[in-house]
Amino acid sequence: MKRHHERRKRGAALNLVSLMDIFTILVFFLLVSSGEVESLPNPRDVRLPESTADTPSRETVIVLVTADEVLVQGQPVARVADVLADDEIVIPALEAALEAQAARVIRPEIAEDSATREVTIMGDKALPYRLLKKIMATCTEADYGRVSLAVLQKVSDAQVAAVGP
Amino acid sequence: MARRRWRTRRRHDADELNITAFMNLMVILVPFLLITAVFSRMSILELNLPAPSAETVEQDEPEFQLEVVVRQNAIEVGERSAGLLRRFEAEGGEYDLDGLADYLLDVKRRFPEKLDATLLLEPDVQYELIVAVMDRVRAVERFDDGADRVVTAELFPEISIGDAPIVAVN
Repeated sequence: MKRHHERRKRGAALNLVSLMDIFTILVFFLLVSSGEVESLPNPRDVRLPESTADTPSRETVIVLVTADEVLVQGQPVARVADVLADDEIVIPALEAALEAQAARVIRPEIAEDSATREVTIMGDKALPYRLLKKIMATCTEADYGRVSLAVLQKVSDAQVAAVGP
Repeated sequence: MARRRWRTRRRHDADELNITAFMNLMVILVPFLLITAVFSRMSILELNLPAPSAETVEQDEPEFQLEVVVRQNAIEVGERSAGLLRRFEAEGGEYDLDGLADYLLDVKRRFPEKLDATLLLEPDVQYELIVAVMDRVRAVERFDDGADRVVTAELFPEISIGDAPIVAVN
């Protein structure tokens, strides 16, 4: 009886070796994959279009265009319905917000030179060109010389065909 | 004899390795990294937009200016002065993007030095289609049987965007 007890006490030590293996591999995998810094936010209500472009994103001012709002760096500045109803090509509220972002830049010599000022537009894939044009026109009007479009990277059809059969 | 005793003791120690602290660390680290992990990679498409103050420079020599016009019912490839070169009808909302890619490759063969193209769009064209057309204009990817891999050929990566000319209604 005493011996039986002793055996149970020893058996209480769980065998964690395989769990440890999995955890160790997972931690290293996740550490490596999180090492690639993603400068763009991951918005839930915007479905970005897919593209084969592979230029990595840079740290820039971000204009986020959802189905009903325009946001600059996360701050709502205008409503899409109002923008579309307006005949004016430049959106005044967006322009003011972009100017304010430019004024916040720490190094003033960058702010002076419009060619180095960058903006990234993250738009929902269902947006009409009419809206996109107004946003791009406002960006150039606010002296942002370089405008980029954020896209989700996809594997091209040719690459799929190459891997497939 | 002494050696043997040392060995048994070491084995005994290995059994009792205290991994609780390590486990705690792992249990915290794994969910934290899973939450922050990004599974879809984002990239950017760079546009070639003119500054609002930039004046249009008159060119003495008329240069070949490739224009891709995206309309509600078709994609047209043209040249600024020569006019329409090729028209791809969209049947049932499906645009012939592969046909466009093939034709642009053909144009690139004729003008290998050309790097820029202008994308002209109608107001109601969807953003998704704009990006898809930009992809086709920017580069072409073909599976090369000889090399047994996908080769990417650059077409016209410097893309400008503008409004499509209004078609005269007949």
